[in-house]
Amino acid sequence: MRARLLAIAALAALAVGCGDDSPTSPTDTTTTSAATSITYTGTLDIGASRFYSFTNTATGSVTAFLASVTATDSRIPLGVPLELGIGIPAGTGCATTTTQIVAPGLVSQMTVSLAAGVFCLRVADAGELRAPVAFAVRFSHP
Amino acid sequence: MTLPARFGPSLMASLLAALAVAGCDNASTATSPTATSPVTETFSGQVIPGGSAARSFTSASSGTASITLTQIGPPADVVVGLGIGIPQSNGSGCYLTKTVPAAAAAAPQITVAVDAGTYCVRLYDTGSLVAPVAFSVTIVRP
Repeated sequence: MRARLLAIAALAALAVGCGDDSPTSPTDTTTTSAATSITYTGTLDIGASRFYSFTNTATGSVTAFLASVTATDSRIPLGVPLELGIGIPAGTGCATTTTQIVAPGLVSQMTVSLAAGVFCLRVADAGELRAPVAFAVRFSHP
Repeated sequence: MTLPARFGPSLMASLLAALAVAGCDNASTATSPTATSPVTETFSGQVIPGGSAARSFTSASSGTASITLTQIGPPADVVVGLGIGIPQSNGSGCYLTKTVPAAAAAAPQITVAVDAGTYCVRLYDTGSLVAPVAFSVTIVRP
């Protein structure tokens, strides 16, 4: 009986000891907030703008890039630049505090450090549209 | 086998402890990680007239992604559209950033800077296919 108990205890020790090789949850959760990645898509008419509201759960960087601008019918990339902006929802619009005219690409084109709170990402015709387009913006926020 | 009562428990414990050490020792001698970037992936399939094929891939870090249509046909000289972008959230294709007409070649037809994240490659008929063709695309990504 005693031998059996010792065997169980030793096996338990074995399990705990080898468990050290397993990853553990981070203990410092205040500095490791995960970013949320969003793809914002829509269509844009000549001279128009659209926006998307989002909530930062913590202070951190918001990054964005204009991934795609295509003809609405053929979905063929046009390469036409659009204006990206980040701001604060105001009434039925988005009051931008940072804007940038960018051509489609796959690396971050705008990085803004923001506090926790509600913000908006705005996509607008920069004066280059000759016909409606479809767009896709990828952005991440805390 | 019967052990004397005064040796049984301690001998059993010693054996199990030795087993525990041996088990953990295996875990502690893990091989060193191998270099993982750049990574080459192969995307193969078939495109029908008027159709398309897409595949997503994930870049582990920022860097350069290159896309090469290495094989297509028959006929081997057929030209199709090759594009890169970000995947649609419903999984039905890509929001294209850049496209080029492409025939089979050894050199990349698309080379583009990317951030860490998920992207996609799309191959599509531009009107030249009269029958289904098989293809192979090489994706080199960070």
